[in-house]
Amino acid sequence: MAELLAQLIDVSVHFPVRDGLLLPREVARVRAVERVSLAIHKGEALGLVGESGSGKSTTGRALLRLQDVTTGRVQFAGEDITHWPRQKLQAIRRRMTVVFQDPEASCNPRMRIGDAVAEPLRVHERLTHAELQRRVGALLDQVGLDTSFALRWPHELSGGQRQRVGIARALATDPELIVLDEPISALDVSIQAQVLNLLDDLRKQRGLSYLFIAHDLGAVAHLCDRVAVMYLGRVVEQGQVGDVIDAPLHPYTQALLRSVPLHDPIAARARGLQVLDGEIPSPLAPPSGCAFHPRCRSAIPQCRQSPPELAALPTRQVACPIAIRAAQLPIAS
Amino acid sequence: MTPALQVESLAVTFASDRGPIAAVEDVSLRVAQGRTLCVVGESGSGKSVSILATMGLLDPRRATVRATALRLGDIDLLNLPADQRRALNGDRVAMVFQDPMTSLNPYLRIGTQLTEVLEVHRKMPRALAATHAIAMLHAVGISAPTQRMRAYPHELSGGMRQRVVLAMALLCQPDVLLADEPTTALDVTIQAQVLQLIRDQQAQTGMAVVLVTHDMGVVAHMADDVAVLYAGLVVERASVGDLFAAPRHPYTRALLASIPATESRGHRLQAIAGTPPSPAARPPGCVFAPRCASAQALCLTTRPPEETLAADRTVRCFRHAELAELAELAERADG
Repeated sequence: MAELLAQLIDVSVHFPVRDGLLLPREVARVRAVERVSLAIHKGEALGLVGESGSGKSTTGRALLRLQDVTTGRVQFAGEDITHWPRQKLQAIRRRMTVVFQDPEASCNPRMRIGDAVAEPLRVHERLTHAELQRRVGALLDQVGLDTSFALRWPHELSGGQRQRVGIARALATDPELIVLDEPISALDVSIQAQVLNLLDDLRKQRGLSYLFIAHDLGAVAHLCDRVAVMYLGRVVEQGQVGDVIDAPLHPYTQALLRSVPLHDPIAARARGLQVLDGEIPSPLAPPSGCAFHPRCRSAIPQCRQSPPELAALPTRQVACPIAIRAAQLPIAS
Repeated sequence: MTPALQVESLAVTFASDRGPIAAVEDVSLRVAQGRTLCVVGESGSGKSVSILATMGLLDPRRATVRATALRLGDIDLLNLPADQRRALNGDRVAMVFQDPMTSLNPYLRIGTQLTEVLEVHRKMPRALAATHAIAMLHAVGISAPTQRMRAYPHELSGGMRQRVVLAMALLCQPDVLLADEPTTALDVTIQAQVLQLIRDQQAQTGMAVVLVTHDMGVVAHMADDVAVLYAGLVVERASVGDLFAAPRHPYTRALLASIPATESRGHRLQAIAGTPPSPAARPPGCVFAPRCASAQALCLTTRPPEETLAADRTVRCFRHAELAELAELAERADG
């Protein structure tokens, strides 16, 4: 297996809810991320899927050390960076970058495209003006934009073009890891494929590693090698993309996949849309035991008692003892 | 049979500082009782504007709306006085938007907003209206509906709010429901719930549904018929089966090949080059020609007319017959 690049080990991120005017005390705790372990190897794309409120973005921010962890460890390139101070982090910031969902958020409306792309280079490297221009031109070229874009303003660009600028910026410092937080969700369908293909090409050309955060399982299936599924702050299933999509084991993964519309009217009508009852519970008051049990059709009384551990099968990790028992039974022919 | 809703040759032009902008150039939509028409298109294709124009919701000082026919069942909407037309909205024809907060007043309890619909359109006394509203909230899957009547919109989740809006739209049992991207802002599991709800209600009341979406998966699950919009024109119209099995317009074909679906992983996506034209600068010939891999000289200069291939099957492409043959040959070679 390829070398390990970045890793979260048993990471939890809690946000205290405080009340009281003079002596604010913690009255509750939002458990946004709960004991999550993820590993990303060199050149690998790991998909992180889940619904709103599942903690997937917070997990991405924790990996980048943009969010302090409550417990657990964060490792990057063999070093434990969990408690590195800001100044020390600065040295590795250039090696791990991020692309956000809203391309507008990564473009300052009062900064020309060329300056926006040059900004990370100005921060991290000392370059002459000519060298800076050359690098910006090369970066724009790499994301499929003409070098003349350097002189344009963000408002002159379409959403897809702006997202390419966001990617160029993320590539500027020649990073090893890019966290992609829903990079195609805000784009038109005919543009999504362009950006997905671009991300796929860049990964192959430059040996990049991705943490691809998405709610769109189709996009994950196209871009990623492995996928982790989150529900209410926990990873409930993790494995090779093909395995998880073709044969999901956790009842939540199964329900999630069956809620995704098929792109063939005959198959779509034959299968229908599985309707999962209820909604994701509040992370302020997660259900006891397995967080999914109130919505799970396979739940038994045991599921209400203690949260199931993420157990390792030969090629998969699943946090559901019932699913594991079923998977380990010999298949009747 | 008379369609529940019929829109013929709709054109909408907005006044702007730089001259008139033709947001919708030529859109015809027909949907029969009990059936679902999906209107597919990207941003700027004119799909939302077409729906707003159909509802009569565009500001007449800014938008010029023309159509050869605009009928709700037997009612001619084109020649109806504005106040009578407005009275139909929320009664015979109802609308759901992408963002539920477009339809909900943040300062009013949802019970007040729901009962108001019946008080206004049905002149129903408040207590009776409340009974109906509670029953409708229950029907759209809201638990403890009596208590929820007292909730304010901000106290509900996004999925819950969209259910409330749907309940509000369905209270008067409309003949036609116009839904503009009603599930785009929702998570997939909640999307499945809301789509199923629309289906169940349709099965019960026989309403016609016009569902605007950009998601071909939603189309595959929901549509009977599909109209594909591109740059203010219906470029293809077909039954859902025909559209997916044998798309005739290069845009439809390209769109279907570009979707990152879980079923098609492992194949490189066939991205469509370029971006859709802005309504202010549409190309002179076929609107799709600048992005079309099959475009020829004629396509760049002349706008192709809408050609009828069969009942309710139309396409706007000079080369559709030729390209269909080529596609069939390629498929045979593959198989």
